[in-house]
Amino acid sequence: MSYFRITLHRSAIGLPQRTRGVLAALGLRKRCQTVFHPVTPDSAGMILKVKELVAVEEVARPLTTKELREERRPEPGFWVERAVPR
Amino acid sequence: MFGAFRATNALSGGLLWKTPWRLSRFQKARHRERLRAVDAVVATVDQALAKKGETLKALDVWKETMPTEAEMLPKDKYTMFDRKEKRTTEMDESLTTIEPTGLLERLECIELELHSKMVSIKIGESLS
Amino acid sequence: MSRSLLRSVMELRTPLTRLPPTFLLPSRALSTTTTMMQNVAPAISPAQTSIPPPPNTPLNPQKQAPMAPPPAEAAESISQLFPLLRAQPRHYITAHIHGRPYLVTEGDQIRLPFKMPGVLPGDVLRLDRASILGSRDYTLKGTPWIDSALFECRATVLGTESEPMRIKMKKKQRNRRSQRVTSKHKYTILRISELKLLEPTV
Repeated sequence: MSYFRITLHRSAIGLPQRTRGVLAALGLRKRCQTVFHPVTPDSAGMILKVKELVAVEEVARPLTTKELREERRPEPGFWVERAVPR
Repeated sequence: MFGAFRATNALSGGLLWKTPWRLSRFQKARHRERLRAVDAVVATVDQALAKKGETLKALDVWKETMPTEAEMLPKDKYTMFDRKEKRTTEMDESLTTIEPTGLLERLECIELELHSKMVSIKIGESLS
Repeated sequence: MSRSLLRSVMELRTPLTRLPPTFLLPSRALSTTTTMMQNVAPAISPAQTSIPPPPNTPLNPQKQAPMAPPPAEAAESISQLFPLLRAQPRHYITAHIHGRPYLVTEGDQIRLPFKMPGVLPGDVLRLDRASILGSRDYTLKGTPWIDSALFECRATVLGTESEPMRIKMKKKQRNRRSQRVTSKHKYTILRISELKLLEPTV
């Protein structure tokens, strides 16, 4: 089962109500929000309606909100090699 | 020639605050980027559906009728139809019409440039 | 006229005096790093090498693909030029801690803009994320990171430092009440105790 990873890149401000409705149906409320939908003709049709606004990837499984947040976190870049006795 | 009062197009003319009738090359580059982003979305959806063995009429119609960014002509890429325009197309994004004042100003700018060149030539002659 | 001419000749003769004094340097650089060697000339890099990124970091390979040379070429240039970089006397490194870059050399003292949790003075940290490693004549640029097997960088925790108390008075309009909000941040101080370039194990 594969999923579409859909990110809203361009805002829907000033767009017709029908386009906004499609975004609402996809569950996209604000820019840079990411949602996951299974690969079906239904979701593909919705993506094609707003293809100018979103970026789409195909992924194997949907990520949780925590995992999405963890993706953005930079690596610490260090580790404690020798600690003084505490 | 240089400094705060140099003769740029905006300063030597009077009405150059208008939106230009054509896109700059940077605007055109960003525009191509957006076109390619749409192509990428369509390609991703197409591949994902093909893997599943599904078809979608809207996708087939799009692929049949719409060219990708690489296949588009520059005329289609950077201009759009405007029924008010004699040349039938108008630059994308900046839907302003060419006005006689704008043309006149541009001619004036060219004249100014020529004039400044002549002046510099004269100065050079006197120096040498 | 003659005095200014004399001054310009003097300045030409002693190039170091034309550098701005220490207090004119950017304040950000002063606050975060204290360099031990003061008159470091800007590094000229006749040869720039780059290495393939470690396997866990390619976030956007399409964007970086045109910039980075193919891996085979990069590996070759590493094997040729890295010994030259290694042979040079003093090295600097741009180490990244929590995604922020710190350009340091051995002996530098860094004030991190936060208090590092879970460390005590005397702890030795190993910094293993770097984007640039260089010397006076050579620079190794990572794409985006340098292979952490090429260098060893250690930092010692010196302790924490705190800024003077900040006081902010908050007041709403048409109301006599004013609130006194205080804050006092603490910062961890590190010293780069060791920066060593290792033999590439290829």
